[in-house]
Amino acid sequence: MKCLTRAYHQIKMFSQATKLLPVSRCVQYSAVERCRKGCTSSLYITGDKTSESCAVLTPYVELDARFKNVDKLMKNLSSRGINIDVKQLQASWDKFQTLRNYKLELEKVRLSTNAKIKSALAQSSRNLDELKLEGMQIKDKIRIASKELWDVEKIAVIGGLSLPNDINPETPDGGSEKIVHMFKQQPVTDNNVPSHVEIASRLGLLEYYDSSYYFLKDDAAHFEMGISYLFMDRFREIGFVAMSNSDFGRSVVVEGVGLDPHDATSVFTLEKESDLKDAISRLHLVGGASLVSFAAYHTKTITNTKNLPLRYVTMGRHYNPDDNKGLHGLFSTWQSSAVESFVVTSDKDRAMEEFNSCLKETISLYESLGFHFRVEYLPPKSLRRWESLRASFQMFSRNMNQYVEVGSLSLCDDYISRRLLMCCETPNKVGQPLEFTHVVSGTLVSVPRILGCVLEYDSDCFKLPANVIAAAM
Amino acid sequence: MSRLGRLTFTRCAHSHSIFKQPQRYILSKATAFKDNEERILKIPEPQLDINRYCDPTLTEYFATNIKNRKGVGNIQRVIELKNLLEGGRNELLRRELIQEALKIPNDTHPIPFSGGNDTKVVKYIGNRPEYQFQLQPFDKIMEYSSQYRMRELTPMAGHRAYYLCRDLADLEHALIRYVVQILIKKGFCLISVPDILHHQIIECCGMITRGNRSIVYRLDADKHLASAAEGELCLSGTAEMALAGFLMNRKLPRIELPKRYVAVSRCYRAETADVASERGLYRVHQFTKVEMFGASTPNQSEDLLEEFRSIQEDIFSSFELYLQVLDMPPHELGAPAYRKYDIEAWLPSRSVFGEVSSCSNCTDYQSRRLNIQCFSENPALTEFAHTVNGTACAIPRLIIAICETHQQEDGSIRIPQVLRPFMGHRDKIKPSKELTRFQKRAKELLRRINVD
Repeated sequence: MKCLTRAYHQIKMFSQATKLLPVSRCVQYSAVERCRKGCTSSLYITGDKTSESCAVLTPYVELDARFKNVDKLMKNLSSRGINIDVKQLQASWDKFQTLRNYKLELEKVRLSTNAKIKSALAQSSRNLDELKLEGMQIKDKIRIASKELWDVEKIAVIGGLSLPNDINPETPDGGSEKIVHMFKQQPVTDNNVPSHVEIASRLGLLEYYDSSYYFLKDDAAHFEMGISYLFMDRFREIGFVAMSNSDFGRSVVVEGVGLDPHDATSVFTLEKESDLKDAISRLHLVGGASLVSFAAYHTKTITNTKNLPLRYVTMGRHYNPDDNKGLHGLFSTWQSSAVESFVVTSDKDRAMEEFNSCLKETISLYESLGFHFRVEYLPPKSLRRWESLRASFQMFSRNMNQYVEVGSLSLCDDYISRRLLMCCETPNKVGQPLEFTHVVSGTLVSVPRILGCVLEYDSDCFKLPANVIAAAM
Repeated sequence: MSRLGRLTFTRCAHSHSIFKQPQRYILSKATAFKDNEERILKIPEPQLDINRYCDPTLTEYFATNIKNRKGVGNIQRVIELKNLLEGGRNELLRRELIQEALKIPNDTHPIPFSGGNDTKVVKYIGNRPEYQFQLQPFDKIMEYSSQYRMRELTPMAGHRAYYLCRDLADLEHALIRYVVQILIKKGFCLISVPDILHHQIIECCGMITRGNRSIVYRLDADKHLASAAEGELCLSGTAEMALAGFLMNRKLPRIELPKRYVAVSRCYRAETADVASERGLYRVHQFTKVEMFGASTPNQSEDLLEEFRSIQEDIFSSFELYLQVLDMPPHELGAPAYRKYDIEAWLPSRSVFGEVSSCSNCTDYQSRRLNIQCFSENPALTEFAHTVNGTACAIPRLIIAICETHQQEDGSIRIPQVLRPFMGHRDKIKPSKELTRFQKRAKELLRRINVD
């Protein structure tokens, strides 16, 4: 029954050609606008939504400390270019606190009244009707207070969650970057340097259609695997443990790290599951080599401080629909292979130590590749919401005549830990209080980006560094 | 730009809404690098052999084949439509004909075709292991260990999410590196493939992307638009889809065939099975897989399938597993497969065999839909290529089989010899107590927070 060679007739069945344009549609609302629209945080389920959505956790929102130094907060916001009305937020927060305490008082009164009614019933006392009336009045009061509380909650708590992390003193003041390390000279460039897409296509290393659809071939594919394992192996040697993470994350974790789960340019969202009624909790494609995936693993966990720091490294996919401000080709792919690290520490100082040692190790790894690169501390306006300090590993695109970030390392303090309840305990302390962990996170290398730069460094040939070849085998 | 796209979308959707047909799509660039016509991906029209479907001498064969397979497809309707079309040009009928013809499954290899409904065991490899102690299933061995977590992850990472940590993550990488190394030595080309694919590429491979039976994840079309028309983005279920997409519209020189490709990719499958035996790591929605894919001339594909099978047998038997190789009967074949072998590994805790891999010969089913041809100097010899695919290593199932087969009385797991060089020459995995404790009640956590 072998298929015979047959004269096949081709059927022209389609007359209309339609251009496909993969684009991300996005509607961005400011925090205040969102509150007015009546929505919605996936992280903090407001009182009025509790019947529709199941709260996975309640993030720890404590703004009093942040309002102690309003000037610092306002400077933080303006230097990051974030527009939040601090005064209004502070007023709502105060009102929220007052209302919450008021409601707690009412609850107490209700309980005591209920007790009174109970005893009155038992003794068939004469003031039973009076008490019942009182009970009903209190219930009404609670109902009204709750409704009011929910309204304020939307602005105060969800507004509070949209505040960014503090800024680390190491982060350069003013608008410009601070170069902390430089290896070799910046390659010379002129207008004739072809782009890496052209070079790689010519060398038969790449089939690039658009940012969502590309193939790496032969040496480029070997480079991807080799460099990933080179980074993995080195970090395993210095005591990091390997992880193989989940590629999906729910909205609560996406928002927990500080991304907006509604924004189509910051995270991929999967089609709604038909059996899921909860509209706020969606499933997102983030990739195992991402901060979200590590955060999902550590959400609502307690670690004994004697086991800290936990140092993790993973390699795998990273999915990001961001169009990266004018970058092209391999610099702005939706899917990239990456090596991602995640370090959990007990306090600020330890986190800084880990940050520095991780930085040092990564620098020596990049140097071993032999290509020009530099490391910068980025200014506040380039920081993500959860970062207080970001070291950016950059290589040079000769075609674009600008530096491109190929890796990064960030200090997240306890910003994510507070939102997702990542805690640690010291068992011999009295009462075993919990504290929030401090996190250092980094994309040690993003493979398509470094590949793009390496291709442009020498546009005539592509030679894999010896240690990359060794790691691939 | 996207506004413009939207308008086009409405118009196109309207003009085609009468018939739910695949259209001819041109995939352009998300963030286009340069408007280069060559680099625009054209999803071709299916080029089915309608005349063969309507050959009266073959009608009975097709009818039996459809009945023996999953019962999808109606050969009578195809013939009926073809006859109706003889009368004159009718666009609507012509499209319906194509739709019906696309449903007809691939032919079946004569051996399984005549073999009835029973799965035929081709052979057993290795010996059934014997143990002097109480065996544990994988999920029990690793429960509450710092090497593996699957508990309580649904609210954070979705249904059936899992994390492999420490030694088990090392084992995953050891498997990938070992297998890829073997395949590269055998002359396979390593390709890095995309996991997000246009739905039509997936459909051309013979997988449905809509409806209850679909196991394909889709991206939210309101947020991530594949196209100005009906195109939607899906997550790849296997690298086979992307590799077939890679070969789309290619004319392969005969002398270079067969071409062998290997890809390491993540696979996403929305399948649900709540059978008790398939709980835990056995059936998960995402995993890493090393896939072999081959393109050949029509008379090479059967040999290529045997070659893939023998590679699989060599790889899995080097892990010292007890295996059985199955020649799958017609009702177990997916629409694209002409012949399919499954390899199953013995899971001692359950005393059953569990599937760890499969390989199929799809003959020209995929290449007719994706326009993959082979050519030589003699144009008369231009014909559709054949495609063959096989799993070289699907991580979760293989990890289960290895951990269960090589478990020791003290709870540790012996690492197969061939993998040790990739795991720092360690010889065993010892599950250790988990370091990070999950606290189900968030309120309890908040109460204990030290505020100062």
